[in-house]
Amino acid sequence: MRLTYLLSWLSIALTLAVFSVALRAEPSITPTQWPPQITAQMRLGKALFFDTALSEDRQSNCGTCHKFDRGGSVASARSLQHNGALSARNASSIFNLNPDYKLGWLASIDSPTAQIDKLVDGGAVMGLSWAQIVERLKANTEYVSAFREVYQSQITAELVNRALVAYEIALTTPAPFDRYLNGERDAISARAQRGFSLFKRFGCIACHQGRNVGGNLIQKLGVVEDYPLLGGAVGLGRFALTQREDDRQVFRVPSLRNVAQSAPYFHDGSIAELEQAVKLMGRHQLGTELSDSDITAIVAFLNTLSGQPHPELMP
Amino acid sequence: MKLPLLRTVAVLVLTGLVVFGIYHVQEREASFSLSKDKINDYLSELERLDGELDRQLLLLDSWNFHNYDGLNAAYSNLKRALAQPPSLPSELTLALAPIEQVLEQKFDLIERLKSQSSLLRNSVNYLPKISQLLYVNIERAVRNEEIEVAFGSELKQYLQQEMLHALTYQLVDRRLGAQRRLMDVSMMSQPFQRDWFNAMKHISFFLNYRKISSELNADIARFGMQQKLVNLNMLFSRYLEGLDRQAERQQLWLLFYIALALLMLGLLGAALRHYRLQHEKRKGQAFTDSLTGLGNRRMLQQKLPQIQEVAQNDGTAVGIIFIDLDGFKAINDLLGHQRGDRLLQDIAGRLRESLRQDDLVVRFGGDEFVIVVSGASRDVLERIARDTLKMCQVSYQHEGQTLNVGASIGISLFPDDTCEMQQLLQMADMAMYRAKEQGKNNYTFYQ
Repeated sequence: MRLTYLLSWLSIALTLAVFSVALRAEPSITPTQWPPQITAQMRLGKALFFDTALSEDRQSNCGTCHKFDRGGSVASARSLQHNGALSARNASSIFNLNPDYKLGWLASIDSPTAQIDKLVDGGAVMGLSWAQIVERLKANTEYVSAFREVYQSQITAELVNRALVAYEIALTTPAPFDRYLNGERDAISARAQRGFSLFKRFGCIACHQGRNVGGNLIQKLGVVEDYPLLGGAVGLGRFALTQREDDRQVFRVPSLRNVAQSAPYFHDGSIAELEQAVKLMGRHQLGTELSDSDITAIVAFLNTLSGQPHPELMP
Repeated sequence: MKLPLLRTVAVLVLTGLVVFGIYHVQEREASFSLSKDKINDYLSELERLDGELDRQLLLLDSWNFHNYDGLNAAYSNLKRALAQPPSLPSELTLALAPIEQVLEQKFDLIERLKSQSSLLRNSVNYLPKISQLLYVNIERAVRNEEIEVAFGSELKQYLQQEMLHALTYQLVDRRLGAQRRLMDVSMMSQPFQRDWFNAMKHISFFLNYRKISSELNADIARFGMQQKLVNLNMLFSRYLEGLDRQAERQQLWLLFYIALALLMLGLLGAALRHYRLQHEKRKGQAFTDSLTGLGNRRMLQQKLPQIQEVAQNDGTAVGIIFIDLDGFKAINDLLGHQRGDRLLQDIAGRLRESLRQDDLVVRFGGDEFVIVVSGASRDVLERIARDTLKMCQVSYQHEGQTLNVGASIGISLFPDDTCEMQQLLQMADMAMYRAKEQGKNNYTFYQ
């Protein structure tokens, strides 16, 4: 009896150990890099991105809400839109868009193209329709010749969108951690390295993985311990789309690239501090109370995920 | 001439049309086979992408905790390929829409599978840590005499059993060992209780994973992308068969057109030949006297210069014998025109028979005949004139009186009298009048 008892424990321990080793060996996070070359299309998209002509009162541009020094996001929980209303959720980063996955907190937007169309057609954010934008751009001879050069065509809504998307997709932000992944062992501090191993050990990496350390799957908020439902329908996640119980409080897992710069956190921007966000994640997603030293190490690791777009693509 | 030119142009135009027809058909054939290749490539690309998606799903299902970028890329590549087909026949475009729809429906299932997979991974990562923590805490509680030793080992055994079951359940459907029951841990400390429940939750993730993932996989399989792609391929080959039939029909039409063109060419040739024959016939009529079948005055006018030329070249003489019937009017008046006509025909026949092949005899007008004798001498002409006088002597009985028909003949000779043919004719005419003055039924030479 005593022997079988010991043997079964041993077998469990062995299986789990094999799993753990196997898991840690997996390159779950893959490095990112800048676009190999900056094309004329990207430059045209950059000019459009930072042009206030795209907003009705000529006061704001895309960069107004997607601040490059705030990880491509905005510093407030919700962003003030052209029509005076606040956005429903925290603005997502414009950096490191995944062209292979749906966008938005609910993973409901098919592509960056669809996202831009949605913003313009909604009229709430910048206050201009496509027809008005095209008309304004056509008045500018520089744009007319730039479009002719890049697309051999007149200015059309579709091409404006295409140029913007080309620019946005090019906004990848390689960080010290990517250098670490590429073999440069001292690219990040010892504490950050310990943070990364904790990140893997605690299981954060189960969801925050891939090239963008997240942003490529949906997951329930509060897997192990329920997350308090705040702010009504906004907190229901994909349930609002599908009305399916399984989708209650299910969101797209956000990318952690530039996370240290893009406070506040979570879908509603309710969490101001990164330490707090890590703590809550540990509690609700992993079912563990992380110690302060573990949190500090993980935050140190998260800080190594901050990078900048290609210098030619900076504002 | 105009006619051969017209015919050449017509032949060229028809040949051009036929060649254009053949070229057109072949051109279409070529461009179609190009797009056929493109569509075939596209269909096999779709199958490849679908296969890649299946492979990625299989990897996910076999505890391959790689990241999801590969799966996402496989999904969105297939979706992009479906959204941007090459130019397809409308039947195929219509068949693409349901496939896109199915793929869209698949998205939710794949996402849930991914969520489940990451939860499983999370639990695999987390269980060793939490079980160790619980084990240590139970030991400590026993040491501190917070719980009894028996209860402590029961808890440990329970934990061990549940974890073993969670692992074996991934491979074996049946629950091994004791049935699950609830443990009452309310007497333990708050942190211990929380850890305990979390551990139970992770174990239940383990247990649920197999069930949920097999359900989701079954759902995904039910959407049957494979079958839809096979159908798409079948649709395409059926479409190709239709096109082959169409091409066959087109070739038949081409043959028909060629046959039609040949027929038209034949018809055109026949029409041209007919036209030419008609033309020749009309031309002949214009030079022939319709009553007697002899040449007429126009023929004489046309032939005279030729005869002159020949005579001049050969250095021979040409004689013109101008014949005017005497008493013909009386026949016409008394016996009727029919009788007169018959008389003329008779005389014409005799004249024709009496002459050599090269000689020309024409009806010059009413009852006047002209004979042109090439290579003639005065003697020959005289003889001919005498014969002719005899030939023209006919008599009719009418109401008791005799009606005599005779002829007055004038003769002129080339080149003795003149070298000018019109003049020669006039001279013969004048000689004829003199013969009439001298009492008719005789002949005179021009003097």
